Amino acid sequence: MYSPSVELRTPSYFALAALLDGPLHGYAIVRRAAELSDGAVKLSTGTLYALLERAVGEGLVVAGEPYVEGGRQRRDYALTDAGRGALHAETERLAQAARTVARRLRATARLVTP
Amino acid sequence: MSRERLINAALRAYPRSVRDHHGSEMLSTVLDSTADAPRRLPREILDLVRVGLRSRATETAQPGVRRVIADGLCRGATWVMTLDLSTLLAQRMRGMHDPLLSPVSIAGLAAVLAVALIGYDRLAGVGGLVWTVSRTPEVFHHHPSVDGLLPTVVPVICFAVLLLAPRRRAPMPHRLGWLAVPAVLVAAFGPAPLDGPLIAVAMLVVALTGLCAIALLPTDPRLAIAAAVPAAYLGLQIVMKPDAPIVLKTLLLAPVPIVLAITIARSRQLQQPTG
Repeated sequence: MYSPSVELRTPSYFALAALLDGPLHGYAIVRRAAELSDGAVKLSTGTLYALLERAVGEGLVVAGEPYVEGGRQRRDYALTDAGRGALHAETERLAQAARTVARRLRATARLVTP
Repeated sequence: MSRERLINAALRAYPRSVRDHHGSEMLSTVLDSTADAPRRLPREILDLVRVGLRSRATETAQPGVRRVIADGLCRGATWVMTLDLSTLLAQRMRGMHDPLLSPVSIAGLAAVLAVALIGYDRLAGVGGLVWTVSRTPEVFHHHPSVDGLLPTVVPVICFAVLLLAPRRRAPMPHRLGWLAVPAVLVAAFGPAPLDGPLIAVAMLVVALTGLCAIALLPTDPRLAIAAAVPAAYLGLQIVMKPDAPIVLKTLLLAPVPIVLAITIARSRQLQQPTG
């Protein structure tokens, strides 16, 4: 199981999640991350490439060869098994945290006075 | 300025290696991202500059803080030698006669500077130390006290760093173009003692260099370290003179500890994971 050096922050989480359906280029990742997060994550180009570079360095993502599409220089990025594992681990962590907090919310609901 | 040129200008904040690898696709991504949302462009530009400068700082700090400081001191050695060479030549041009101004001594320093400029740091370090030691008896004869030798500490440290922690760079003879700097300094300041307009020009150059060094300090402290070295060298020459203003002494001697402290702190900060 992949053990990330740091916990994935929200932009990294959704950028990696954007690659679950297949390789995408930079702008497609920006759009897909926005869709998956219901518009909450609006990745800027600088932030996107910083996190992609880190993800490539950690073996979570692999970068393809550059190509030209519609006059624009592109390069596709694909999730690796380690990247999938990191997403799985982070999703489990978030789900566990959500379950714990939901339980406490239910348990304390009757104690709240209007 | 067109959108594309503005984005390319912002991309220059990144190190060349990143620009060469990702520059074109980053440009494409910004153009696509802002095509239907032009109001997003300022945020994109600011973010490129912010992340680019951080990337540049990380790349500079990558080899470790000791390497960064050594690089700065190696460059500082070049600046101190330039200062010394210009001073010795200017004094000789004014007709001063002294064993310290002998053609052999001056030629020796010029040769050491040239060797350092080309890229043979270790050889330059040895040459610099030999040159310094060979002059020490005469310097002591002029200033028969430890105070007189105090400024020598600065070049000795720089030469020792050249010898023990040389920069890894390919020899390039075109770097000898730097020798134009002492040539211009001697031509400008050599024939006569400093006067009004020339001092103003010199102060302007020093001020601009200082501003550049301060501006680059968070991303590449090597220029600031290099600039602080000759400042400390001059500071140690006047520190024992009671008539030298305390403000000037502070301005010359304070940069070295401040710049080194900032370099170490920034290097530690850049090693923190950002998630």
